[in-house]
Amino acid sequence: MPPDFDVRSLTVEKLADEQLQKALQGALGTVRRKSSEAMDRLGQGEAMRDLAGKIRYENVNEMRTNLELFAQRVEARGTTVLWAPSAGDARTLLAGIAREHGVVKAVLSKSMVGEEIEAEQALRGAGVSPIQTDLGERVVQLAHERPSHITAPCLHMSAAQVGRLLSRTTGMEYTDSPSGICRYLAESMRPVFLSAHMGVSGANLGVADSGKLLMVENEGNVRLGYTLPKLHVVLVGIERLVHTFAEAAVMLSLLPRMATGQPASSYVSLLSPAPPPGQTRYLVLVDNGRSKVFNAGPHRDLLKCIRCGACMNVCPVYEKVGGHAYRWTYPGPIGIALAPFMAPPSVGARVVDLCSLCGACTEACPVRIPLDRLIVQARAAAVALRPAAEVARERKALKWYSRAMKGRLSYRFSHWCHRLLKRKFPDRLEGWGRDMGWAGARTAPSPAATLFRKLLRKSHGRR
Amino acid sequence: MKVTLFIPCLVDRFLPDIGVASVRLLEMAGVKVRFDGRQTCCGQPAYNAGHPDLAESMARKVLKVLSQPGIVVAPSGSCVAMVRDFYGTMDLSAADLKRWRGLKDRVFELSEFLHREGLIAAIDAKLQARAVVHHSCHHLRHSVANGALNELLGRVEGLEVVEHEQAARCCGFGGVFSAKLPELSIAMARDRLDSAASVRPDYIALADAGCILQLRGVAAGAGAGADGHSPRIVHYAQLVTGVGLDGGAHAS
Repeated sequence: MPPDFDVRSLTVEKLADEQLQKALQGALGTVRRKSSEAMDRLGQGEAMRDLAGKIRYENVNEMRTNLELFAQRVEARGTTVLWAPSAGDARTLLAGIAREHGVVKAVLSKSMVGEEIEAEQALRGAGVSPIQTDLGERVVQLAHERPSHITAPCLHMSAAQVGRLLSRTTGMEYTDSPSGICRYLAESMRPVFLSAHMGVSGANLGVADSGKLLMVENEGNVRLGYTLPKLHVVLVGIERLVHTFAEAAVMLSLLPRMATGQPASSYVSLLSPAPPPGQTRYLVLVDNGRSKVFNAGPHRDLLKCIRCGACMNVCPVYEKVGGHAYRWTYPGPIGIALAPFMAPPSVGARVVDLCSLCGACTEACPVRIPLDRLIVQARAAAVALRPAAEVARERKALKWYSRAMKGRLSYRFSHWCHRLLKRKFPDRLEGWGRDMGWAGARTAPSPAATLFRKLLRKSHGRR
Repeated sequence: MKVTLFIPCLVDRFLPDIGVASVRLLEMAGVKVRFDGRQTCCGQPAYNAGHPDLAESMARKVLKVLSQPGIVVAPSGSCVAMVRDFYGTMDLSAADLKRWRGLKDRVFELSEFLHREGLIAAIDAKLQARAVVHHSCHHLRHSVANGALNELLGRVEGLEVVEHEQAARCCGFGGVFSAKLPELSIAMARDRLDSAASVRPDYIALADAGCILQLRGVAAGAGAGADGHSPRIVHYAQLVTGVGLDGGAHAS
């Protein structure tokens, strides 16, 4: 990741990428339509969101108790539990496990925690060849890119691009038919599964009172990844627990509907904490900034997230710039809100700008995270991460604005000045407008000849 | 019935017609208005930019000006959301917090107020035109009465209200957002304008001055459509009252 990035030029670059624009518009339009249809068919969408939000809120508040119980249940049945305070710790643990078991080849199922800690790189560092088995993840791995969406990693690519990539890197005969590409990748993955020594996966939820792990998927790669290799490592964020299966079931009805518009995922696994005979299993519980979020007042709500991707699917900014513009693991509204706490500071400082505060994310969120409100507060938190001179300039301008707007006289005087400038020095005004992006392609508004308050006094007298 | 009018600074300074239309609309519904000239801006620009401390002095002023009891009505979902929802997250003094608690449940967006008081049925207006509603985000998501706008426009005889596909998607204004990322902001507006223009309306009706300035600015920057068709971008109160529509409208 670059040490710093200029969000504005990044947006210009993304807007000019016609292929990206087409891919985003097509994929997001479809998923929005499908998921709203699926929620309509489910009925009681708002009540379900209330319920899911309440369940997640309670479980996040009881995170510590849940964790202790969960770890205890899991260990009692023969899975080794490891704790990773940071991404670095998680990488060390993962590499250590691989070395200890002499792993040469590992199959990875799609996991956002895995992306967060850069599990692939950790394994490579331990001399392991890591193969992503989720179709989208495999595609971005072959392209040497990062996922651009949390549930659809290669959403930014067209089928033709994927076809070209695969024919170049794997020897697949070129096709741009999505089903042809899926079939090819699924078939080529079989021998990889059979020869891998280690499976690494995430989990959608952990159930504290039974120690079970819930995983949803559409490709079947997660199941193969946790059954075939002799060694299985599960990476779970410390916030992703619910107390009972009944609570998990509520998430299970919302997650696929919001993520893809499916009433249920093609495969749902409820993994017992007891590994099958002959298999060794580790559970790595990853903090990596989550405790920081937990202790950050209203931001605790962010830990309710079940990573469905609905907030980015509805986001009008994500729709124009795609996930790579956010420059870290989590794009879209949830990524912005989390960034000041979990992303590299250089990202947290900048990514907060990628939001028009429209609130579409808050409306869509199945667990009732008030994302737009938290993004405004994330902006306030990001001020400390930005260059001091830049912040000082911004604050000075806003102070001038406040001063001009606050008093009755200065309020009128500033309006009068604006009109005067418009009349006498239109070029100067145009220049300032251009600096603020309000000139050229977008015409700046003209100050009214008469303030509303004067018009009202004329028509209605003083009141 | 008498209400206190809360006018967005953008309306006061750039789009006074919206204020005049709001007064007229309230009067059509039999409501009298009072206006306190000490009011200015709700403080949203500084708040949204991540400097809540700079918005607090504005908030204090608004809370003071609007402290006397009675309903407050604003032709803006955005300023209402700021006062009603976002002031509560600020670091206010105990006295100001008390004022805020006393205010937040009696401040309403214009159409929300008319709907809530059952006053929409009393309104009769005429306008031979075709219009689309483009929702303003704060109006859509922070007002309680979502259907109020269509109900209100339904009272305008001769007005055909048509849907457009991207009606509930953000126009790209977002206050400081529009200045920080202008290309992105403009691209968002272009998409909405294209979507709205595709159903060939005479008017695009919105509920917030910021969105109106944004869409007008982008439409003007781009010039008229290929076929010379460019819908007029107005506040919904203007459609009902005819204020600022330059003829063609006859509010009764």
